Amino acid sequence: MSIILRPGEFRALLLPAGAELSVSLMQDGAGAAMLGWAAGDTFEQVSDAYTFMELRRTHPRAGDALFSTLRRPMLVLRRDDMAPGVDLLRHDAWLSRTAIVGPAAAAVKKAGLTSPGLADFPFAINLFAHTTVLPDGVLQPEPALGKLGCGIVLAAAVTVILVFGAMGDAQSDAVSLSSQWPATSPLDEL
Amino acid sequence: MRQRLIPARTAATMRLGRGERVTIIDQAGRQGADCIAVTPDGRAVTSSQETRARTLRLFPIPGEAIYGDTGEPMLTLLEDMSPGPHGLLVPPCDATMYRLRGGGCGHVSCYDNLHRALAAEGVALGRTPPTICLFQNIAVEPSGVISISVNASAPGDRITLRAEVPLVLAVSACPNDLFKRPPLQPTDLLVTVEP
Repeated sequence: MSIILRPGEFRALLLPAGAELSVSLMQDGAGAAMLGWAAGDTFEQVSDAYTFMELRRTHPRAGDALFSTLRRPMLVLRRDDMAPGVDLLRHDAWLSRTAIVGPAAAAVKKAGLTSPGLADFPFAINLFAHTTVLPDGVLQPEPALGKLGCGIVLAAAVTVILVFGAMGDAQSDAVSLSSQWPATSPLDEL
Repeated sequence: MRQRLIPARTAATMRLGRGERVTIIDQAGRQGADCIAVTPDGRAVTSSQETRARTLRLFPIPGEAIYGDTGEPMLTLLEDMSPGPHGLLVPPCDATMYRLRGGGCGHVSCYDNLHRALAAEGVALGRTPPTICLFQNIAVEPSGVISISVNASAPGDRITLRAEVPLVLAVSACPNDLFKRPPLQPTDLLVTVEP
């Protein structure tokens, strides 16, 4: 499977348990907002809060899991070229919630997948964004420093539905999604 | 003034009108208060994610708001008469957490208590937001490590918030007795509401 996202474009996909997904930058400074939930239960969602609780770290590292609202690993971060390239602290690091939920829901519907109700959508986890925590608890947004070719590899611990919304310079492709998982997905484009 | 005692290991709700001030008091010290505020129609719920994004802090300071998941301010922090800190990072304790950490099956939890209390008010949430964890002794080190220690609050410490919209506020006297070791045990909270 190979999907190219232009800035502002949203796509949804089903990632079977055990499959890996590579998310790579196609331009400097680009990134993606990501939402995720279990294919079998849309209320089990990839969660910043549960990940903070289980990892006891604000920034996941390669080898860490992103946890669900049922306290179990949903995605494992196999590779993170930016280290850290997963921002859990600011859900709007790339886009506001208002700018995400509608297009994300539309992408899921277009893909023929199931989603929570709009009010129950999870908050975004942001790839290739970074926020620093200062000593007095202030959150400092950092510049997007991902370079062309930078990547994050996620492995699904359970079968998940993931939605990505890309950000970057409108003049060119922003993010690529690729996976070697079996060609039985409704989104296989090989 | 209205007031309500929340016995240890339980949760209760208070309905707040816009502008009313609510004070949560740690009666015995070192007790956590997990809170969720919901509009009566269930349309908006307090959101740690939205609050962090809008305040650019791990927890608001006096004068700043706690926001709902629709992006609207729901509560404003007026006064913090505790040493702090307070938490907006982690979810409420739940039965799974206690089971995983050796507390056994069926351990009472803020998750269940809060939903039960809200349901008694006719509010059935389809989601559980990370709670406003008052008096939670949570810190983020420069390395990004999150540490949660026994609460530092003293008897009588309190925090006062103002409702910016009509709300149902659910408060749980956290039943976490895994952190607390004897002689510390979960204790009562007192909640007061003034116009």
